[in-house]
Amino acid sequence: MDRRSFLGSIILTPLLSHFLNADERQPSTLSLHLISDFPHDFLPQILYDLRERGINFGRRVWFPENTPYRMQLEKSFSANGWEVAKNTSTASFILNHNLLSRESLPSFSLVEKGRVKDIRSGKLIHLWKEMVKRNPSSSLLTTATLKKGFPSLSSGEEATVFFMGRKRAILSLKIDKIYLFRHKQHEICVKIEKRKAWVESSSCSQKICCHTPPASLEGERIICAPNHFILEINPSPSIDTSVG
Amino acid sequence: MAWHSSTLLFFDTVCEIKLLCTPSQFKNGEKVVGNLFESIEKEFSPESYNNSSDSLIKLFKIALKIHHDSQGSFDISVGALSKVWGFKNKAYRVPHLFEIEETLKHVGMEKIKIDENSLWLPEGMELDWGGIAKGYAVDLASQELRKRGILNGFINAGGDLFCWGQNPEHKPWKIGIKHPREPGFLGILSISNLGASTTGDYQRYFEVKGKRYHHVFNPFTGFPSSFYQSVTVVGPETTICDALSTALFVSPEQEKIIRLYPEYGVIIVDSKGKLKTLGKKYPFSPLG
Repeated sequence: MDRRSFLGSIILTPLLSHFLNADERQPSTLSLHLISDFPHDFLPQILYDLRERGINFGRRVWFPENTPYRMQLEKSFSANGWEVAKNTSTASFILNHNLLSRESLPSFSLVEKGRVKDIRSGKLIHLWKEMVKRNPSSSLLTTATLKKGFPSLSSGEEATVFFMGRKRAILSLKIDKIYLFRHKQHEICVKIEKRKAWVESSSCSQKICCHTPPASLEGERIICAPNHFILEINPSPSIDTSVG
Repeated sequence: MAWHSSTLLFFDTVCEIKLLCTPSQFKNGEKVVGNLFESIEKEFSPESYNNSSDSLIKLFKIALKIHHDSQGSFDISVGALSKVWGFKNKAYRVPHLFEIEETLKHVGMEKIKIDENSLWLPEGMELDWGGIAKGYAVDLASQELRKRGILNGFINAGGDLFCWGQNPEHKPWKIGIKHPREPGFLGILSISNLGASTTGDYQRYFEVKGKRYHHVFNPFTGFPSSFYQSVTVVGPETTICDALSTALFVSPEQEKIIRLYPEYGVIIVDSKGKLKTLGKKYPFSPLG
């Protein structure tokens, strides 16, 4: 693949990480989103590379019992210097998995402070090529989330939408509605129904965002890098007491 | 020094206190609040026949001022209306129009005579202190706790609250305002050294043929007031917040009233569910 065709293909994937000039007031969270059917083979390498660049997810990983490739992940993380935590309280980051409703090109994106970051480097481009070569279409989305940004098991009440580098809306999950976000050739349609939010349609080519399962729990995210789009379920605001 | 909290049952509601203090300070503080609430509950209960206590006269004068300032919208003499609508004994009913007209003859604070030591009520009139007494109790209790050197905390008597100092995160207190129609909150106030109180049509009500009849009466019509779903008032005294939230809930002329209380801010949800604010601006983040 020459440079031109490589850029041509990569530009259509979430690996393309245009900087989103996101609102700095967004809570500080860090997550890595990997689309690959072999997360155990690629995730530790990506995390290792990020650590070298000062983006640190910590040393202790936790994943649920029913994680696909659990044994392989344990082995792979241990071999690369990570510890597998027995519970979330001692973990520095957790993994969770979602099945995309359709197969997509393997890719990976880092989201930091509401901004999709470009994490390509020589080494990671080689890794991405290897991912594609090995399995040109994958359906497993693995998300590694730094502990302070853990998705919780509580249902959220609203979702924040970042689109084209700006915080564009806070959507109530209580109201069933369809929202359209449009800017030049970029268009993305979000549907909210029964307290869940999902991407109904998108102008991106891969449609990974459309295949991502609906988000409803605090901290859950749907990302569409080509459209510079992030939908995040906000944590319920903590209050000390209430009136009314 | 640590955070302590407890829940007390007074005024037919749950009262919450949270204080940063030593264990012995908390034990004493809890006792002080309990005793104070108990005495106020007794003194201002509908069964009380003591119309000459100092605090009763004092609170009546505050209520009368707000009655005048609100052109009669706030009126503690609506006790007979509560009774005829069944809110006193929970035997809810929609009275006949003639009953309401008859009851209205016994409503009107201006009919109450006051001398230095006593209140004189016309026959048939009943006072309902529900729109002011809890706020007053919260003010007295929080003043007493602060006098005892407790510098951070809050008292919340079923939605009438005063908070002072900082919360456990060393920030202003975050007070959720309940949504009048949906689960969860309308928004969050971040306040300190202030009181807050909400009056809403969702707090006590019954429904007949799909129509909601709540407990906040318009003293002019004798019917539950229907301009708003909820009114929250924030300001330096919970007593005033409590009474003003009722006055503003009943009155269609809110701006006129709130102009007389420049230190107070109001968060309103109108009858169509539209949110608006009036008066002094306090940090408030609407949700959704």
